[in-house]
Amino acid sequence: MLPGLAWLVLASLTLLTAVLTVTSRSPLRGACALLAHIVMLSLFFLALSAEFLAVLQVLVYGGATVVLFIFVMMLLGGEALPPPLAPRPRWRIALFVAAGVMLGVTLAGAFVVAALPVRPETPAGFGTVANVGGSLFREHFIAFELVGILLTAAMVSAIAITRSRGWHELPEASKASVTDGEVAAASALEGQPG
Amino acid sequence: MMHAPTEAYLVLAALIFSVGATGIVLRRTMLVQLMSLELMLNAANLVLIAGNRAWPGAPSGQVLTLLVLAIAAAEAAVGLALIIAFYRIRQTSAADAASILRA
Repeated sequence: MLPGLAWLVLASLTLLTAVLTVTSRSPLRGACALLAHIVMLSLFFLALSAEFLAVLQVLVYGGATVVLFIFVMMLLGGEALPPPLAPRPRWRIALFVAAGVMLGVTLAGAFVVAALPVRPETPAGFGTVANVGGSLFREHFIAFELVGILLTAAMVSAIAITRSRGWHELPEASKASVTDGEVAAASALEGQPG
Repeated sequence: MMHAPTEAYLVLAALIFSVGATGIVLRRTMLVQLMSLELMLNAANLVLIAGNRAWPGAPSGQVLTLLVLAIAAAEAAVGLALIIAFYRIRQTSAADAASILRA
């Protein structure tokens, strides 16, 4: 009874955090909800005896992707994002209570997952690094190589897209407030005639 | 092991996927749309892992999840770079502002 109940509670919380990610007016709160969602999803991965993927989910998604999202929010600044809701104290208290309950239930779910025995039918070392890595480098080696190329291309294109544009490519409006000295310095840096 | 049949995981993944798809359609902030995209990729990962648990002969589902993780990272990097570049041009991150190509 208890494991099924724990599964249901964890599933509904995972769904709730997914809904919060989408419905949060402030993208920062949405990112925090996405982080909670990812951590709870990794609990499901643990329950499905995919230990390596559970760790990787938290590392890659929680540690890299969500932080990248928050980093971009910081880079764009507050004016790029929609204004947050007007402060409503009761609503805020309810949010804090919900966050606390969510944290408690997640921790309890982790203990339940850790305490329960693994289903016997998985082969030994099913979700371990050795098993997954062995399959990755034997049966799926071409896919691995292709993903390496994809990641390199993504990195190069991200740099190419966000590279600050040259002076000659800027719109006239943004050139108006710049002094001649700055123009000369920018041209010297670029090696182009001002 | 929390005792839940594979079908329960499939239903949960379908619900998460539809929440993400709804977010992409309804929200107008590009950052939130990208986060909804991550939700959809997460739902796909959950299906892969649950399927691999149901047929645990080889860890192919987990390997595929690993590849999806890498693709999600690449997608997030390029998508966020596009958002930053768009913000430089239009000074906003609202998807409705990207209407230059509208006929």
